[in-house]
Amino acid sequence: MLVYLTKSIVGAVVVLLVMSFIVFGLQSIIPADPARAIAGPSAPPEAVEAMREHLGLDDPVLVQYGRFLLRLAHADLGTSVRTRKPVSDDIRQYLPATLELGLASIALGVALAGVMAALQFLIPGSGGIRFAIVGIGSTPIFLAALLLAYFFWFRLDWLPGAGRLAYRDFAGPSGLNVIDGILVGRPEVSLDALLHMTLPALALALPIGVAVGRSLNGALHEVMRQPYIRTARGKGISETKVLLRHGLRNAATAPLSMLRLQIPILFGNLLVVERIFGWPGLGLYTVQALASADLPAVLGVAIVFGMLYILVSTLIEIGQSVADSRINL
Amino acid sequence: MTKRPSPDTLPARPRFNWRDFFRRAGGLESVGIIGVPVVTVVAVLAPWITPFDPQLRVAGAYLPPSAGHWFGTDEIGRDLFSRVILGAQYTWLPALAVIGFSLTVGTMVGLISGLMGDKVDLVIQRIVDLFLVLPASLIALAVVASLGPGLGNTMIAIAIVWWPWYARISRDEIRRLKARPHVEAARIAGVRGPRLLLRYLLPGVVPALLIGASLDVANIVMTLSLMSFLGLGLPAPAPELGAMTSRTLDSLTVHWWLPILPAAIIFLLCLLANLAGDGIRAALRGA
Amino acid sequence: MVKLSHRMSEPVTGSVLAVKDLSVILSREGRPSRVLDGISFDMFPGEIIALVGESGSGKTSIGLTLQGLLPREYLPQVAGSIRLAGIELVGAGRRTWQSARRHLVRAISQDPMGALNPTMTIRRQMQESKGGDDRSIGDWLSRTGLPDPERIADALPHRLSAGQRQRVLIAMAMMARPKLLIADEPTTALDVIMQAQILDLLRDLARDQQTAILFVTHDLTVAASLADRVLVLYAGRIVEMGRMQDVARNATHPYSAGLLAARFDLDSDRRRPLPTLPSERTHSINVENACAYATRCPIAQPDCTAIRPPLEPASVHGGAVACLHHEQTAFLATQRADAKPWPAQAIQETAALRLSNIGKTYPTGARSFWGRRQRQPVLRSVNLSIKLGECVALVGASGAGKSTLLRIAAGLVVPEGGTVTRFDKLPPQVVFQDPVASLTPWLTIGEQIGERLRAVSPDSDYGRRRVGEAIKLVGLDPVLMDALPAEMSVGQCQRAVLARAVIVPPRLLLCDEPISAMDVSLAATTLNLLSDLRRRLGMAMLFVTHDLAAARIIADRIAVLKDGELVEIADPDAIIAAPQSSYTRSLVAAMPSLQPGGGR
Repeated sequence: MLVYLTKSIVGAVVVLLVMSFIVFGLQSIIPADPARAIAGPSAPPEAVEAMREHLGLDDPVLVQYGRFLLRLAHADLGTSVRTRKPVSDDIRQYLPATLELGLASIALGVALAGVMAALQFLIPGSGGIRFAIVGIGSTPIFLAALLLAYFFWFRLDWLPGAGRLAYRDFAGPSGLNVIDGILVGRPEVSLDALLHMTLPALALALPIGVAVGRSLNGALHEVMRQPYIRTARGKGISETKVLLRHGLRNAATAPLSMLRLQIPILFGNLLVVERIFGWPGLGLYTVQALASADLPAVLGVAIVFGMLYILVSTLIEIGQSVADSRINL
Repeated sequence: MTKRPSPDTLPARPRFNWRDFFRRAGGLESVGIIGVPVVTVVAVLAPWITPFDPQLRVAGAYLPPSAGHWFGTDEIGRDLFSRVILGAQYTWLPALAVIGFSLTVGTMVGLISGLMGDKVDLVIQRIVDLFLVLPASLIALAVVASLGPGLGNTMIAIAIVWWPWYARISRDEIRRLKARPHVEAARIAGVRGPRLLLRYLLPGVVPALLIGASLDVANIVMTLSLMSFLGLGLPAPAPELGAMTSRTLDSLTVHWWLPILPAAIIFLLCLLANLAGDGIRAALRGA
Repeated sequence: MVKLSHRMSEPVTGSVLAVKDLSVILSREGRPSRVLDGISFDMFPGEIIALVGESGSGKTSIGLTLQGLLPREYLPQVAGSIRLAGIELVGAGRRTWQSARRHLVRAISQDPMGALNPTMTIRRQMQESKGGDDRSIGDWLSRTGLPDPERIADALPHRLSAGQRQRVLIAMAMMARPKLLIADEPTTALDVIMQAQILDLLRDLARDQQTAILFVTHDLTVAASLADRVLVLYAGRIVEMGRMQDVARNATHPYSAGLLAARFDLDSDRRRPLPTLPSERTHSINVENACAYATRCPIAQPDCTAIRPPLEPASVHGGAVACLHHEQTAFLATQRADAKPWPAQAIQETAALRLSNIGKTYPTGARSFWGRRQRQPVLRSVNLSIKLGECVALVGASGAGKSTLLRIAAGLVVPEGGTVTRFDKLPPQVVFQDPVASLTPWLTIGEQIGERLRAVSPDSDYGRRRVGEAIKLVGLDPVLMDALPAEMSVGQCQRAVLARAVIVPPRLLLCDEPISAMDVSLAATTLNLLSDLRRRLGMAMLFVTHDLAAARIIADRIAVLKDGELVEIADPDAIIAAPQSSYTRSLVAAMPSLQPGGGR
């Protein structure tokens, strides 16, 4: 276990290094001009030159890369071009909102996956369900978010579709409003936070649910054909027990791997969904940073997301080894 | 044991049979398998087949969908349907190009890895492993953010994180085939070199790659349109589907067709690609 | 349907199981087919019935039907009656079936490796079987002869060997004290020594627990060493039933007679070709009103395809037979006895293959961080030479290193120590275990056989003619030259594999367990073909097998390999009459035979 943790930390560092190296490597291969990109197409040449100076782009790429790593080692992500504040401060401010929404989406996505797999398993050969699942899986995230916002917020007005909370001045200790509402004894805040979260979390959960659900369904079908399932049925235990004790656990590895693959996709989708629902998190921050070519901010968020991804991956791998003790960590 | 026919005389040759292929693929899935080439042709011909010039004002602004303008018109009176068709080209062809590039590079790396084995395999697989755990969309985002927006940069960024999948698939298939008795038997029979690769190995690798690639088209369309939605694709006048939705987001409640219909076309493209992928998988796995 | 009187005198209680007119229809890809057709039989407490048939005869379906576990995706339709301990199960609800499976009927299966849940400890899987306390779990595990039951109970299945798993499965089934145990080919995946132990265990359990055992097998010899009665199944129908010894001695249905003649054991005549069953002919007939065996039957008459033969009391033994002309069956045996003996084989003194001091290790266990693993020896300093024209059989348990030695001889594996010397410059040809998997699915038979010609002559009319000749040499129809492997039967694939091996006759042919996955009759056919080819083409042969009887039939000398060491090598009959090593002795003792009580 200790060896595994060491390995995954080493792995995390390597992944971050490779990620940043690809970004820097491409900069030197591809004739692109970040200074021009940042300064904007209409900026005068002097401004572009100043920007280039400011970013240190005249140095060799390896020097730039080394400088970047050095700053990274000190948790210094640079200063945002747009907000003029240290990127790490900005991230600290916006991270809780995104964490809350992301975790809710993963939980809801896994629940949806279970429901979809159960539906497909209980009603085998149903073309309708299969088609619905392919359909949801083919819906681009912004279409799903738009449709949800349009119908449930604008048309029906069942759920709020903008912002994170109706209570403007609320600030809790953890930054996760649902939990903070309970912690400070204001359940009405928690409820309101939950309601605000429902539509964006649902939009984010749909692709997770489809991908994981399809994987779970495929794995279950495979597992339920195995001889040991016949052995279990032969013992005269109920079909529910066969499915839960013998089927689900053996089918868990593949959908968990699929869940892990969904995490980076979730990060991308968070940008879109936070933009559409005006959710004040890292996603919205990144969208604004992208619009104003705020390179340090974007890279900073990418690094934080990268670390979160590695954290979640590690948790999922531990989960897989719990489900199947043949997988050694 | 599987039941096998036992003919003394030969039945009619069951060579590749389209009707059988579509039957195994399934009804809806067959629509996808036929739809994908149709979409490709439409995408290639897009500039010539749009009913109106997509860049010019052809009617009043904000006309809702009607018989004359199927998808309505946009804020300066351009025909949305024509723009959407051109937009499909900007999304569909790059997706195919990314797949084609990743498939070529990935398969070549995978074949080298699988065929050489030993140390070469170990080194290549470590590299592939590393790429496989990289969070694709984050890389794409970081790369495009630092290189500046543009379709080419987006495509490069996606291809960089996509080829290792095909390297993994083709390498695993080659390794699996190499251990199969029939390939071993062919080698014992004296088949060597390119002949072994082309006649005995490659035909066994193609189905897995085809299944993987066909299921990936939709993923790449989604990723590309996501980047476009975030403003990282072509600059403003170009009718990119994701960007069209993103730019008209605020008019959702007034002119719903402006953001919804371009997104719906992305949905249609993904749906066809996904159905085709499922169909190809069902048809080839059964064989 | 004829009412059959039960002739066993011993059990005085009523029957445990009464099956009447059982028919099962399964639909595969929308096409319904009748897999069981009018099956009727009774079973009594403590009785062992062998259910014998080829693959596809429906024997596995009977077991699944009795448990109510026919695969739902095949939309099973079951008609007739199954009364188990007085409870009618056909048409019974889910709860009745569940309770029947829990208390009355249990099963052990062919594949002990797959039959245990890989993520659950043995203890928990056994608790699920009976809700038993720890003590009874330990008790049952030790009753099946497992050492250290506590350790095994806490293990996950992948830590156990195939034999151990089969014992665990038996313990798991028997601890529920079922009235009926269905054992579906429980020993096929095990080597003979383990097979003999499992058969003993089942025999004891049937006696001690008064459990009726339905033993499903394709191997009459195994059946004979265990069962009280036998049911012979062909195409979903019972063609013959009776006391095991009666049927073994006086098989009355031509199919059972053929099956009996085709099995070989340590006493079979090895100087002439083995008798075989006629292979199936193409054209299908309407079996509703015909004998299903008529298309293969050597004594078939015109009426066999017009009337469905009823199951009637047999004249020569106390059982029953479904054949219109069963009085003719006796003549089949006399026809077979006068097959011509094999011509004498010229064995030269020069060695076709000489293996000296061969050593090989394999990595085991988990990969360390740097990819290094521990290594386990599989072969230790093996010396073996095969003379030109000679056939040596290499016998041993799974894991003994047989296949590794063959692969070293073929040049597929490089040994770490020792030398391989071959007489011929041409590499030897190899026949693998699975003939279907040995053929590339997307190339025609002719293309694949012709590959070996390319070194000698280009693709041409001449090449096609040579391929055609090779195909004829192995007894296939030359039209099959353009067939794909998927269009051929297993037997035809085996012949095609041999045609590829001998189109340019090698000096040395290496066969890796070529018959181990085959039905008795197909195995006999293959042995005959190999014996014929090696004599006709003057090939030396290394025949790797775990089957001592097959080794004796085909080989001039038998070499016994145990744990990577050659423990014995001698003339077949000498080795069987007077085995020198203790391992060979136990191997010989474990061989089942038709004689009552099994082994020697």
